[in-house]
Amino acid sequence: MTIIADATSLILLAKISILETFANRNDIVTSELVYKEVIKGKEKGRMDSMLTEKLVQENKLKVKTPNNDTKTSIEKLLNLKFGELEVVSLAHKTKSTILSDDKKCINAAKALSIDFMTSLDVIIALHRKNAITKEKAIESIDELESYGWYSKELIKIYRGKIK
Amino acid sequence: MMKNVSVRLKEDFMKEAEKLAKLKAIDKSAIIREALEKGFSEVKLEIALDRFSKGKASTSEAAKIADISMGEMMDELVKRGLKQKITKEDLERSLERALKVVK
Repeated sequence: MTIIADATSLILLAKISILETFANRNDIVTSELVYKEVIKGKEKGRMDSMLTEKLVQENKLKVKTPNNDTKTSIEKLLNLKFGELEVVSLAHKTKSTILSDDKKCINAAKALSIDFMTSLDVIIALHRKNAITKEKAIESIDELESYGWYSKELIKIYRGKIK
Repeated sequence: MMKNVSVRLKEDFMKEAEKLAKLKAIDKSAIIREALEKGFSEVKLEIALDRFSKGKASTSEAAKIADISMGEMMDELVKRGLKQKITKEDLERSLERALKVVK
């Protein structure tokens, strides 16, 4: 099943070093604009930008452009813009799952009844599918905690989900 | 291409500009232009962060306003303690879905 990833998730998963494992095992797609948003960091030597570019070159991360009509109607309905608009449009059209760590994108997915998940869910799912060890899952959650993207409450809940 | 613009600046600012221009051996207008350009990046970032914190901009919208990459925007947000307002209620069924989809 295809997973449509936005920039926040590509960057967070790259930061905790599980993006490659995730992309190797799953059908991951992102949008043209999201790709550009992430790649912009290459000028400053960002690791997340370079890894994302490498995955696209290796065809482990596919880049697609959403249909303009879908984009226009979603933009009017939800006032979404840029990368998030493209991700939601792609997922809506193809009935795929969204991978996002952005509140506005998650709200849009909920409003359109599109399935979604976050990087926190990816860590737990990869661990339960034996793609990463328990130690790696704990380390990944710890890294997300020290980065500070998620509240301590959510980090605690997801740490508790590691079996 | 450069355009001319008239701006009223405080006397203290002008004195500082003159002093710095001498130290850098460049003309006064060049040092003011440099200060404006650097300050403009700060202003763009401040506006972006303000819109994000009020829920008016997503992460990518904020990055676009500040004219920086998504990764840099995310770093700026966490540096200022601006967390995503994602709640446990938002993620009630997300793990269940991930377990079905992720291989």
